[in-house]
Amino acid sequence: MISLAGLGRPSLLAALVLAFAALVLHGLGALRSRKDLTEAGIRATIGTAVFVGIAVVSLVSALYVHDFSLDYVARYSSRSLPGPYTITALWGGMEGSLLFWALLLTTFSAVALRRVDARTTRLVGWAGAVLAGIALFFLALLVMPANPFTRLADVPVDGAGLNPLLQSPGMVIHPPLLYTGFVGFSIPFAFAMAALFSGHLDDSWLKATRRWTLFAWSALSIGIVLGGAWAYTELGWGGYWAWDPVENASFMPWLTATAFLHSVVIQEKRRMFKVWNVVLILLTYVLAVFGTFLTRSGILSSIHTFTEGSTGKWFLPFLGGMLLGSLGVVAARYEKLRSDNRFDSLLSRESAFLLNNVLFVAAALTVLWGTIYPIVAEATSGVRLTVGPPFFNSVFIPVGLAIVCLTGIGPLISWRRMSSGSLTRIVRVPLLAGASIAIALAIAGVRSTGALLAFSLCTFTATAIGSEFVRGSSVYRGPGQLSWPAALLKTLLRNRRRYGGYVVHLGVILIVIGLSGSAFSSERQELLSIGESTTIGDYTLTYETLRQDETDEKQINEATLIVSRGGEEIATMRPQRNFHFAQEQPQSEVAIRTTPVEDLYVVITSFDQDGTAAVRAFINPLTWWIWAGAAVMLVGMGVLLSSEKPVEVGAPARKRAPEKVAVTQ
Amino acid sequence: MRGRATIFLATIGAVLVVAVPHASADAQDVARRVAQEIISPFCPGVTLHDCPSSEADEMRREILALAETGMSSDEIIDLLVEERGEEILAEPSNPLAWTLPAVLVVLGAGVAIFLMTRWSRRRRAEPVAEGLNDVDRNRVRAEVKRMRER
Repeated sequence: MISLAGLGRPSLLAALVLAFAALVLHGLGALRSRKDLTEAGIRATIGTAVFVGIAVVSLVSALYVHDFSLDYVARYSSRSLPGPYTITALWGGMEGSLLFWALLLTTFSAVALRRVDARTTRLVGWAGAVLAGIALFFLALLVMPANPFTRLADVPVDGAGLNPLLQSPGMVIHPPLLYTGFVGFSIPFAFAMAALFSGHLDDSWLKATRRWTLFAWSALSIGIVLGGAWAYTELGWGGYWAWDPVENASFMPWLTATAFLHSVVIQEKRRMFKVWNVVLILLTYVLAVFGTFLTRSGILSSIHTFTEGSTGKWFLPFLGGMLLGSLGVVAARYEKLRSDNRFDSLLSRESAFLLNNVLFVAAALTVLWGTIYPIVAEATSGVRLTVGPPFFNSVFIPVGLAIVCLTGIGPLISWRRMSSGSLTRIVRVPLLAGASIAIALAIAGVRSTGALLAFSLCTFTATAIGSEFVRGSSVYRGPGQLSWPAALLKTLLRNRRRYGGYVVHLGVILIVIGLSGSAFSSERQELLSIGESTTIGDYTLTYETLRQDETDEKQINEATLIVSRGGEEIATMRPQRNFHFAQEQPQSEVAIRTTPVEDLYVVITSFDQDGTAAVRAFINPLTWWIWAGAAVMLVGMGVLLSSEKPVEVGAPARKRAPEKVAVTQ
Repeated sequence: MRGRATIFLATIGAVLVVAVPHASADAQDVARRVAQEIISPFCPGVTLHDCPSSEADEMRREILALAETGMSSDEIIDLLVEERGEEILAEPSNPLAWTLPAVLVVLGAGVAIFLMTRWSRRRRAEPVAEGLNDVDRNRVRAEVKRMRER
């Protein structure tokens, strides 16, 4: 393999020119309703994607052949970097990750624009123009302040190498998933803008992009969970979520996107919330770009690094322009976005959805506030005050529990209106189940109010979801009909949007159960010499031996800890504290013994000359359920994504939801 | 039925009230609480508890040593604020940071409820359509035309 680095910059310049061409062609095509111009615009978009692809290939090739004449390669890779992790260097630094952003954006744009129906030329034209505009911005960044192909005058013999924390399988998958999520929202955003520009404000833009929205949301969800899993297994502080700004940056668009996924249903069923939906998708997209800006501009560590770096100066006007511009278009079209229907009753599915939206958006704004607060404080008072986990937890625990509760009640309430009597009848069983769990756990000795509430609400909601499945599948039951599993499967597959959604909810409930376990976590820090023991919970950890070894990349120090419980040996754990030569920095490799009941988590934070180890041990109850819940969510997402019919943009809108509706749906 | 429901809810309430978090004075727990409430001087935006750097580890051990002398978590935090300034707190003392989100939630919920009651009241008061606006009229025309063409 040879370094194709020389191709990088010319390809980016070509992509920039083509993106500009796409912008002009799409814009003219839309303004003059010229299908041929729109077609040409689509071809220009495809061309942009191809040239960005070539630029990515050239950077990856330079990384693989250690072409340290490129500044980026010298900064984020080294000769000793294991082969599979070379690809992670592509998104290990700012320039590379922006290039990756551009690749996803242009590829998604090309695919989305090609796939939609020709009947919506005007929507496609405007959407293409918006997408080309965004691509133009990122390509301009890559050509000017964030050029990944900057050459070094003095070529170093070896590179600085990739941060060892990033050398983990999680980091190969996590960032691409997050970026897929972030960038995936470009498509619904662009089509929403197209609907506003063109004045075609029915729900064809929603239908055209439903699959993209779900896809982006799914990728972002799994990306966030994988980020947690990476933090848990790599960072060695015993947890998976620290509310740090980088995590928050991915969580904010997730919250608004989740609100959007729900409120879209109201527009489809009841033709309400049109303005709200447009605002939600633009908020989601602005937050996604803002997240990229936050993590990539250096503003987080200090305002001063931000003003020193030049990318931030580009991002801020872009973000501001995008936000104000799109809000301006919404305002201009406000009259056309009026709801066709109104609320009939406070006790209705619509109002449950509205409450869901209020909670999600308030949650997103809270995270936003907590994340930018240090920047605001530093700018106004000169002191960098931080809001940390205590702030976020105190806001999120009540909001989260309210959302869990709504997840249970919402699907049980009928559209338009419902009598309180029929609601009581329907929630009786789930309520009883939830209450019984609270009482049983309290008797068993659980003494945390928050956790008791969480567990009983989770039981309530899980029972409510279960009862929906039972009710749905009872149709297929009866003499000579299907068995329970077959009936449940048929129910799931017959109405994938509804029951797939329930499966996702079930996954969320399992995750909440896992999160609630953290109320019972415990920790010990201890200095142990070889042969000494310490106890945590029911476990006794005995430090038996220390093994030392050396590879090209690092010096390995591995402790062997024998774990026993009740005098019986149950496991051997081998945490490491290694020294990475290239980065001249130590790095812990944690050891985790995981079970559905609890995780025993051991990390060594340092070794003394005589082999004395500084041990940090944690017991994390129920953490396993977070990963299990994510797996269940993934299944639900699969069902949801498989439910979508091919895009039918411009086709006459489907029949309205029947005005007289049954108890559910 | 109502009586039974009251007893039921009262039981739940009692269970939740009895279930207050238990306090333990173990030095390890004190040290943990302190580390969770201060921002690491070594990792921006991350608490000392969650910070993976070696300096943070040393600081955590110093805090454990203080806790083992019998100091409470508040006393240790006060000491640390004195040494390193207020920036070290993970909970800002400025009430603005605390109140804004709560205000947002209450405001959002208030607006939502207001809109819902207003809309549903208007609906009840005027059960017949309030006359068609242009958008609706055009849509009806288009629908009728489409039906005729079938």
